[in-house]
Amino acid sequence: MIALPEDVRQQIEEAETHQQEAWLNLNATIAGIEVRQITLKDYFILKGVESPVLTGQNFSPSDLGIFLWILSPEFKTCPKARDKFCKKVYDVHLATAVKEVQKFLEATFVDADTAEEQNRKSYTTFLAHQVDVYGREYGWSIKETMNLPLRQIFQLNTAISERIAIANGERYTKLREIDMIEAKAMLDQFRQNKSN
Amino acid sequence: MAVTQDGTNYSFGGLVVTINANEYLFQEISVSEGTNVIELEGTDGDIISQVFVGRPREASGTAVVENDTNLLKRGDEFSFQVHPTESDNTTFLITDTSITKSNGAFSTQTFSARAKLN
Repeated sequence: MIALPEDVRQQIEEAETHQQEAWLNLNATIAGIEVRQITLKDYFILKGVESPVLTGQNFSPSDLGIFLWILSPEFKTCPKARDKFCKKVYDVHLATAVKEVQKFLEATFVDADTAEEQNRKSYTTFLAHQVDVYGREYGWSIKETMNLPLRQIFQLNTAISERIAIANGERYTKLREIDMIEAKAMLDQFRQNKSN
Repeated sequence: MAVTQDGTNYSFGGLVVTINANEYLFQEISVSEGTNVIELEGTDGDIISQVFVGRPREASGTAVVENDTNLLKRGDEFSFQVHPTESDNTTFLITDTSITKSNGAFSTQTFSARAKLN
């Protein structure tokens, strides 16, 4: 039996907690500012404005302001309201915000599949694919799908894919960040045991 | 590695095996033992006897493969102890592998295998 290191076991437990918590639709706080869970719509808005916060690049207080504004429960398409909101963000502690953004994004993408089928060309966007999947599976409208948090989308995609694979007598595979951490730890431990 | 037993089916999670000096993590693997029943009919067509012939163990699962390691292929052999009460390992031969997903660091592969006969 391969025993995983304590820190890896803790990360796995944390990932499981994030999975369950995703269904509570709780707002989070980043540097004291309330934010909603990232929905499919938010995700494409953030991509549209090329938010470096979303892509994990270095970001300025202004980038953070826009990121938090888009995810704020107060969000509306009003430049005045946005500017007023962003002024508040200039006062936040940037180092704390960076850490909390990272944690927030980790929880958001904990169930995302990091792997793709090799040599498979896609002709559609992730968004169109999701609208198609939920329209077919659950009869949801485009609006309903767009307002679904990514954290729930990643889990529903797994549930649907697993169900279809089982019906076809196949196995569904997925590679989340946590699966890679676990796989690496198990292989390292196995090698260490072998060399002892 | 957790093992659950349901009749003659065994399921494992997190099993590391060595194939051609490379290590592979089987995220999950299940082993089944089937039986072929051969019925012997008398001259009047009635079944007069049954013979139970055990089939070799069959396994199927999902492997996580590091990207600097060869992917699993048909004919690869691996061994492991299917149940703690067994004194010997069972050697399996991979009979089928399917679509690979990859992210640059790891790939996943599904596979089927059959116990190798001595």
